[in-house]
Amino acid sequence: MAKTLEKIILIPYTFVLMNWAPVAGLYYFLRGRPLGIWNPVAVKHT
Amino acid sequence: MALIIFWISLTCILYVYAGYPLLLAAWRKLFFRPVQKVYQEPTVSLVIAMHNERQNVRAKMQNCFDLDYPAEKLQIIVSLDAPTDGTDALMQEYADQGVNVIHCPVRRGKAEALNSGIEEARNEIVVFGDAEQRLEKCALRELVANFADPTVGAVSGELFLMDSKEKEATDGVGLYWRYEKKLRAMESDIHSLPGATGAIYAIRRRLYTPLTPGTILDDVVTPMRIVLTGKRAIFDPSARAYGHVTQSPDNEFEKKKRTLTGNYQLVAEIPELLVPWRNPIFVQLISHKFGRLFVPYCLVALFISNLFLLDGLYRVVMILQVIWYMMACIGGWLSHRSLVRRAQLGMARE
Repeated sequence: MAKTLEKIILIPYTFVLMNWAPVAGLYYFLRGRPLGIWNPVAVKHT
Repeated sequence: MALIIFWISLTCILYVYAGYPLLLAAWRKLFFRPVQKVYQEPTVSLVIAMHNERQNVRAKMQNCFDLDYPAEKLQIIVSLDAPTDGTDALMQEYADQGVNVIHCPVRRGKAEALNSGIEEARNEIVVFGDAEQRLEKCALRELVANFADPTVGAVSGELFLMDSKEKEATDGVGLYWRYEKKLRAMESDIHSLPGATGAIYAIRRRLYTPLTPGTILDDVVTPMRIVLTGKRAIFDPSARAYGHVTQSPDNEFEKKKRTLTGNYQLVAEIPELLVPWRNPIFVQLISHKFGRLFVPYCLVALFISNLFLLDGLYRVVMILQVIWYMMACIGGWLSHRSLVRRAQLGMARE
């Protein structure tokens, strides 16, 4: 019973977090993320 | 003014979470497009990008060897992106067993690791997988059967998120994922889904466009590029992969944050996705992917506008909102409490 109640209570929390994620995502996007380094010469085939 | 903002916000929120699924259900009834699936055995390259996967390598490779697909028709490629935990040493054993191992000692990111993997692929169908998730034995067979239909350019399988009891998760995150999969299934039946599941998807190799360095959502960018060529990107729930649900909503938040950053990046990288006559799934992309980006602001606008409207029905909506956010606060407290407990348990074990 307590477990079920906890699961139900977590639904609004998950909803709020999932909706906070786009705001955080926009912040990270605007701040700019470092691009991966492309170094084809370093690739070693086995 | 408050009234207009209230109703616009409420309409947007309801459309994204309820209206759009209903629209899809009706749309599917009218314009269902079946896929001509034929079981066959074309040559397949399975590409897996790995960084630090020491814990998963053995299980993943065994899983690949156990797949129900003729070994002579399956090329397994593992593209290592500068592992520092000994993944490369472990993979060396498998290189001796016929696995193509590409090793880059310089960290480049997943997108470029996948590009290197594809360069090595020699077969017409390429399947992508993740190190962490396990593929069902018949997953490849189910995926490639869809390519008998010439309109299909990409196929996404279904990822099951399991809980600690190895049952499909039914907590907040699990439910969210189930809802997401229902949407994908309906979108696929109409035309295409806007993005595949990174743990299990396949494409025709000739349709692959190398990913831009730093691409976050390879499993969205690649299928969307294929959709723009006029082919379909479909969802096949009979091709299954299994993973574990994240331990808490907070962990899921971290994943989601990354995914949504990737959505902004997607638009910046492929702006033609926003041109309705260029993108055959414009409505689906806007409603499903981009609608979610606007919902948070609509939620804030709804709450603030509701503060100025506290009569009759509006009072009920306000009370419901307050209850909802109070439950969210309690949920947050419970979630953090269990995280702290888990951390304490971990420390006690050490």
